[in-house]
Amino acid sequence: MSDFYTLTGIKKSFEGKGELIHVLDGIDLSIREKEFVCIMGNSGCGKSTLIKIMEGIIPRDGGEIIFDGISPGKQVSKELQKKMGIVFQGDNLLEWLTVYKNVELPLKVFGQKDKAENKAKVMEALELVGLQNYWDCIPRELSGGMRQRTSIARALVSDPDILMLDQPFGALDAITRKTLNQELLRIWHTTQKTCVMITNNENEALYLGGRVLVMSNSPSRIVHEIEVPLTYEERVNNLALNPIYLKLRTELARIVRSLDTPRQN
Amino acid sequence: MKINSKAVNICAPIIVIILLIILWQIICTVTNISFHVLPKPGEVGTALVENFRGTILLDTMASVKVMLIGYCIAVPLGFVIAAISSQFTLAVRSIMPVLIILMLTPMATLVPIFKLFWGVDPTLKILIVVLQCTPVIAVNSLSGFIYVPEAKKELMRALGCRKWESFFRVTVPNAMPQIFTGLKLGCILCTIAAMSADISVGQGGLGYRIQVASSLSATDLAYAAIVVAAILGVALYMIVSVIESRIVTWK
Ligand SMILES: Nc1ncnc2c1ncn2[C@@H]1O[C@H](COP(=O)(O)OP(=O)(O)OP(=O)(O)O)[C@@H](O)[C@H]1O
Ligand SMILES: [Mg+2]
Repeated sequence: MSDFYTLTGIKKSFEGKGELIHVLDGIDLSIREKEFVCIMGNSGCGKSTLIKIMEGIIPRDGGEIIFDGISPGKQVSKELQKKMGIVFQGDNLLEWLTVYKNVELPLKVFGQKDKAENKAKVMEALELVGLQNYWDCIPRELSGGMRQRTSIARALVSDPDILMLDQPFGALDAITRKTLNQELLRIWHTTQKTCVMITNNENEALYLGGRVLVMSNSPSRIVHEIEVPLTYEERVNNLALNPIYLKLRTELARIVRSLDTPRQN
Repeated sequence: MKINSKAVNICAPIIVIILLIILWQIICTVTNISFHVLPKPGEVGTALVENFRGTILLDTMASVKVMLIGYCIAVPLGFVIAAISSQFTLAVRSIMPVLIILMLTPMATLVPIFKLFWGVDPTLKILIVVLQCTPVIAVNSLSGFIYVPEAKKELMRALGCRKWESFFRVTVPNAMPQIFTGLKLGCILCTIAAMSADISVGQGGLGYRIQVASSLSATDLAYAAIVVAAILGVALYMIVSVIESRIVTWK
């Protein structure tokens, strides 16, 4: 497994009221092909900022990015963005478009005009998330879980190399969240896509992640890394009784609790 | 019957209108008010039928022409003004207040001044309608265009969308409800502007007929023309509302 998306020394500040707010203080992070990485950290530590830089939504102030062998300028380019599938913190669907048109959107923006081909891709993505019978609905007619599934289908439709998810299930109830986690794990297993996911939930992170990275409070760095040596079969069968999982969960909980004391500068 | 059913939505206002007409009739009968001030509904109806072929039909056609041409120029014009100025923060800041002032200016007041330069030209009425409708359409569209939720902007940036592409894919549909508010207010102002232009320019039209009829004490004819003018305004408004309900299906 080779390094696929590498970040070194990523820095980012925002203009606050009269002063600069340092959010990212040199993030080093390396994602291997086909792995599932989860990133955790306290609210406001800069998780969304980091993933937005990775997605090319905002420029970075400093540091290096290498994605798929290419080193983009200050902001990740459109060509690289075509290789990414993005799931936002809210579902972020366009409410005036049907499920079908929402999922088709990236194909259209990327200039893929062949209707029959697009239809096949959209229906395939919808089948993957189990929404093939709802293609004609508008977002208002769907439940929160179904909307989030639609946005996963939208991220998958262009057959990206990497899937990036920013707290995708944060707004869902516990049961729906669990179902969608199971689906996401299955999708990752079947599509073999590289996944980066931000989460604030330790169980979710260990259930999905092959590695869990923990960020410090801002100005943030990656301060902990946990390997989760569990196979796909172990994850889907009685994970709650698995001794490795239980041990890691205790460790991760301790780490996350230790973040509550702000870092000394 | 459900309170929200289509039948109720259509019947309820009609019943209210009929009740108002009955009330009108009662007031006329009870107070014995002069025909020259307020003719009975029946008399207005008779005047409408009797004068339909002779004057009202022609006046209506003249007014419809002014309203439709004016409105159809104002809609794309207002939209384009809003679309272009929404692209520049400075333009939004500077043009918005001007548009609001123009929107609130009664444009028929310009007629005497225009007359000085151009004499009485039939296109003057269309100009008045365009001047009156464009700002309200532009103001509402613009306020829709400048508000796009941050998450939607991020979605378009994540897809590497060009500026104009995200304008048509996100900004415009997102602003549709406000655009239609502008279009509907435009209908109202269009009717008012067309009538006041008729009155100040002359040369036919329902507004002109109202003025002439009242000066000749043909109050029943004046009221008949007012009723037709109201119907025109309502019809225009309803056409736009129906289009809105076909387009804005997600609200
Ligand atoms: N556009 C911006 N302008 C100014 N400050 C910003 C901007 N975006 C983020 N910030 C600041 O950067 C910090 C990190 O924000 P970020 O959204 O990355 O946090 P987060 O880790 O994703 O939090 P959460 O878990 O609540 O989503 C916050 O203090 C926030 O106020
Ligand atoms: Mg966030």
